[in-house]
Amino acid sequence: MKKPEGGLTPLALALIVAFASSAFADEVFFTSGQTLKGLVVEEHVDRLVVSTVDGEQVIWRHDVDQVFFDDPERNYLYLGNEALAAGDFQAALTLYQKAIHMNPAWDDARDALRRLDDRQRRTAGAAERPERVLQDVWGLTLAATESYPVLSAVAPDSAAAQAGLQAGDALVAAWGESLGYRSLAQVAQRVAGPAGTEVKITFQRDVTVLAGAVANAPWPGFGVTMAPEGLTVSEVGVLGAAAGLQVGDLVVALDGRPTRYLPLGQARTAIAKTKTAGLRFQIHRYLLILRPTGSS
Amino acid sequence: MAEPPPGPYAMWVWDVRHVATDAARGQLVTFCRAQRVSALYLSAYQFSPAQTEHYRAFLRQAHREGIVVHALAGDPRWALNRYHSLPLAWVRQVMAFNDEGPPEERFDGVHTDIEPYLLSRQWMERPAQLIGGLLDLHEKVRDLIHTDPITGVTAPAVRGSQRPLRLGVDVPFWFDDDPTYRIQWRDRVLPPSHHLLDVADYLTVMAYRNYAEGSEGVIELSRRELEYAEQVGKFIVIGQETQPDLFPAYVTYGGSSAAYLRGELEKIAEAYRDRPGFGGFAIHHYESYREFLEKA
Repeated sequence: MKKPEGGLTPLALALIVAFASSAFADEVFFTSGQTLKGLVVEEHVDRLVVSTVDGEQVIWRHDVDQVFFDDPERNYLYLGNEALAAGDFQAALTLYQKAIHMNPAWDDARDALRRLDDRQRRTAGAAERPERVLQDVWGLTLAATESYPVLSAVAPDSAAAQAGLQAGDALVAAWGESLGYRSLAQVAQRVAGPAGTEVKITFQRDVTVLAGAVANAPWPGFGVTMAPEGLTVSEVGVLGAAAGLQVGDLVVALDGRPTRYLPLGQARTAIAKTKTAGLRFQIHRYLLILRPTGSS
Repeated sequence: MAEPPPGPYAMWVWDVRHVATDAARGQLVTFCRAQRVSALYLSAYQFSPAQTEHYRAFLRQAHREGIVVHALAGDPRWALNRYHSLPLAWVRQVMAFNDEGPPEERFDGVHTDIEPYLLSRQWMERPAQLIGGLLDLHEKVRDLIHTDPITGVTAPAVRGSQRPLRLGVDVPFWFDDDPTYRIQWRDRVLPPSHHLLDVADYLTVMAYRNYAEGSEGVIELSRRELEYAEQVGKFIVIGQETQPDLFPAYVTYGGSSAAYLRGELEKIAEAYRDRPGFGGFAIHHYESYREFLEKA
């Protein structure tokens, strides 16, 4: 699973030290004229989260003039998103294509192209009440939270249930664009769309694995690895599978502790030391969902 | 694969992984040899220790084959005066890279791809500001690469003991077709591409049409740039597109055959034969050109 959330980039502590100097840093330019160096680890509609030598900082977009990323392809993605937000589909397309030229394997840029395509379709046939569509056609009821919207109910046998969503899941992103800090109407607009078209939904789920009594040893058949996107489940084993974990799940928190800066060794130790009480994994996973009939 | 008509040929290489391994470097050089590509615009924005080694290894190999390599980078926001420090820092990095290596491991030039019109809203509202910023920036770059590091004197001469970097700029063909973009700069009213010819060593004119002749053909679309280049003792390179599935289809040879491409390039080369302002073709871009020729 690649970077499931728009711009989410889990890091190792060593990188934080590296961007104390000017090298390997993203740079936020504020409208006030000030600048901030760090690594942009989350991008949402109204805010950015920037990891700096002084810890994470939430930056409000209305205070930002521009963000220049260290990765040139990420600059093109950022500018493409800006163009898309401004409704300039042609510029967005060109900019996303440039990002892909620089890194053809980068899922975020490919998702952005799909998002552009999706936006054009949705613009052509926008539903009047997308929230109603989600409820009546998808079988989803959304509830607002302080960050990502949560599925307060998923109707049995509904299209959403069949796709694999469950009550309690939080919707993190659609085609890589963060759904956090948006109104429910904005979220619904991005999820609903013409029937028969695809949407890539990234969701967050809490999964508790009952570890058994295997103290100070890895669980049989279970493993995690540090992928570029972050701590990732590489093998589920019997225990993980029984709990509902899947290979490729991005582990964003372990027992409530964020993994963004957690070294792999410490994560493995935390997992190995878990005894009978179980260990709570907060994971991000994506689904490619075919929009059900009547969802336009 | 049929040989292309007489060039010379340049080619954009956006994905830096094409110089990251021996195998990839070998493949790129072999392709250049087969297609008579004698200049590359190689994406080289980042200078981490690992990337620095990749560049050096590739430059050694390319120079042994007689291929010149220009460091390529750009961002539409570089046209804004308040962000000029970023591209100037990049040029300084290229210069430092050259200073630290033997002649065979140095870039031959810097090549910018800024395309400020992709900042759609600002371009609509304040095109003159962006064009003026684009011109100011290239003047600053020119002065920087001609400044002697010891004496601090700026002159169009040898920089210290080294040959100064060449300066090339990507421009769209319509920069001198639309009179609304003519701009007063340094006391002269000219199209942006002509001002840029005054400043840079050469321009690569993105004349993206898949036919040579006619009022909208490549020959006519690049004629005025070529004539002005000759007036000021410079030259232009004519950019041609090979990506598939672009819209409108006439901007690319992507859907045609190698024989057709060859025929059109021969017409252009013939039209500009013996013209000192004609610097050959630049093919956009390595991956799409390679796929185009493999399919053909």
